[in-house]
Amino acid sequence: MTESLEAASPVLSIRNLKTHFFTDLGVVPAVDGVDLEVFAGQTLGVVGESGCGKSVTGLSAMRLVAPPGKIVSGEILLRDENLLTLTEKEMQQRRGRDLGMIFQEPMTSLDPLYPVRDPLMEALLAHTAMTKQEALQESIRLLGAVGIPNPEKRVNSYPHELSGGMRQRVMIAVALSCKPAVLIADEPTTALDVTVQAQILALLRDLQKETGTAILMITHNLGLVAENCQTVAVMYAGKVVEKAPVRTLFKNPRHPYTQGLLRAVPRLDHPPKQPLPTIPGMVPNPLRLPTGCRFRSRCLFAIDKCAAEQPPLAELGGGHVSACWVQPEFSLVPSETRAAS
Amino acid sequence: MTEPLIRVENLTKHFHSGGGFLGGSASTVRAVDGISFEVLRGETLGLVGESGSGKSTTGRLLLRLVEPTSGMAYYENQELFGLSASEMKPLRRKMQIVFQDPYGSLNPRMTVSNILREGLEPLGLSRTEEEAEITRLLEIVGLRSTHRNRYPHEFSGGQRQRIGIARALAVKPEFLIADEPVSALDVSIQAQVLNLLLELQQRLNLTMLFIAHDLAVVRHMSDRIAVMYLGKIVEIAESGQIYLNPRHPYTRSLLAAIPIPDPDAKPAETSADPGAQSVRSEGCVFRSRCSFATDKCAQEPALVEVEPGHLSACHFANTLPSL
Repeated sequence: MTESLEAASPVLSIRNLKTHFFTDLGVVPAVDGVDLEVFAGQTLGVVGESGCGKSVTGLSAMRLVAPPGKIVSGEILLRDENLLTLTEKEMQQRRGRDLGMIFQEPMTSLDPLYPVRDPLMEALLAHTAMTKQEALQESIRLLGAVGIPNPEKRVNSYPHELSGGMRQRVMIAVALSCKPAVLIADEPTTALDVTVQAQILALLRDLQKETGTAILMITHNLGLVAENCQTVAVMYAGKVVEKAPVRTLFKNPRHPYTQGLLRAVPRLDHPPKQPLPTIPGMVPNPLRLPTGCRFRSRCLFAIDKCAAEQPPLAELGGGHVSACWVQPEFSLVPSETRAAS
Repeated sequence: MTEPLIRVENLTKHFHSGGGFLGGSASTVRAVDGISFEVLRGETLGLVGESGSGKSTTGRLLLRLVEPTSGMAYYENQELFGLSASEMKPLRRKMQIVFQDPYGSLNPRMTVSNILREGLEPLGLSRTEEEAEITRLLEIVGLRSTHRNRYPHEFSGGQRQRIGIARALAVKPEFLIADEPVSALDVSIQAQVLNLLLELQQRLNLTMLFIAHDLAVVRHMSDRIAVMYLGKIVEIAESGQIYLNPRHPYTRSLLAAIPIPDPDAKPAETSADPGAQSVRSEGCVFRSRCSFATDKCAQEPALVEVEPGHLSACHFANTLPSL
């Protein structure tokens, strides 16, 4: 996989995005000053644990954040257009046509009362000049393109008649029906079995090659990131703490949180029944975030400065940034890659 | 650690559905379809498979949370399925389970100490002994004694799973079934809970059946692994062998599909035809998705030893090319 294509300019840039939730208990800064860029034909992985703000970042890019959540500042640029300045009606035109999204649970994102041709044709009729007949033909073609056998028949199936993997294929077909410039994939395979997951991701990679769609892939699975993304951003407590080309992130991470995550994953090539290196403690309460670095209470490298001042994303060269005052060196416990390969 | 604590013979569970007066067609799901295995004293047997493989049903059958269609299961030398409820009672103290969802398995209206007290009930302790025992249980799962008066919702997912483990350990079981105990947890918390289970097994000399869909997690926890597919065990081997020398095509495709957190590793492979999911055919259960299948596979292969301690249910177990 290519590490860094010198693309001219990003298709989607998120600049200093802040999305906060105004709850009865106080303000939760779910996304708190995030900068991300996604380039044509490339996949940016956004990883982090529950509550880190990765999904809210994706929803913000679609302007789908529901109250009490609110985008309080920042810019979301689709090429040169700031989506945050559009009216809701203009935004509706962008969704589906320029920006597609797929979610974790394909059962709940497809309406059980309608056959799968409905969401497909709806998207096509809303965003193209196709006639109904043309839209139906195109829907059948799309189902075939996402690997659904017998698409002429399946176009009339209802969601419950399809397996989880097939439903996620339908969602991908809907999301890509109008060839959007950007696809936001939020945990697209988390609900699926591992063999089906491999098929869905191979499908996304193939379609991306064909269409040049820029993908923002939100996931908690570091394995998926390693295999599918060119660039990776790691989020913790509403902030991007490290961002790098994929190989750099896995081989030379400099943020203690990234390092801890990489060590905590059980690996097939490590000796079994040995204790895993863990990250102590847990994610801080978003209503009572620590001063300075938000990771410092769990960090083995924390120094006095970490409490006093929030570390900025420091440039480490080659597109690698990390928000840490210490930037410790990394070594994973001895490992080989897939032994038999 | 050579003698089996648990022995399962030809265990089968069929679920029937449909065929009601509204006219749906009747169908039978062969959730567990004639499996046999042993769990040796002090070992962890991993049970791995995808959704619908029957792995969770197997765990529930052993505890008689569901009744089998046929087959036998022995705890030491006692057959479980023939026992009456009262005869089963003393055995329930020896066999406990930890579930996936610590949200759903803990009573939200009970404090931690009441949850644990309920678990301790069968031991018939005095009030002071109970309090001391609650303190001890919280300590061994890494919770503070001051946590005892809190309710489940006041805890994080990882802490709730620790409460679930403490509850299971209250009666000092010998055999612990862990059914997807970490799949609802984040990576950093998952590692903490896995370490706790490893430590407790050592400390309390537990025998474990560790059920999960994630082969990397199962391999990390287990001495031996049984791989299930559509109600059948297709392969059993030592954990190391499953990874280095898988002798069933399904195990191989499972291994190949796991994304490795290393950008230099070989990317996950896709094998099967997406339309062929869970199609039940005569003969080998994996036949419709198997790239090695021939006409011979219309005959169901038996689970047979291919090397000492390594069993595979494939006609071509000995001739599969090495990975």
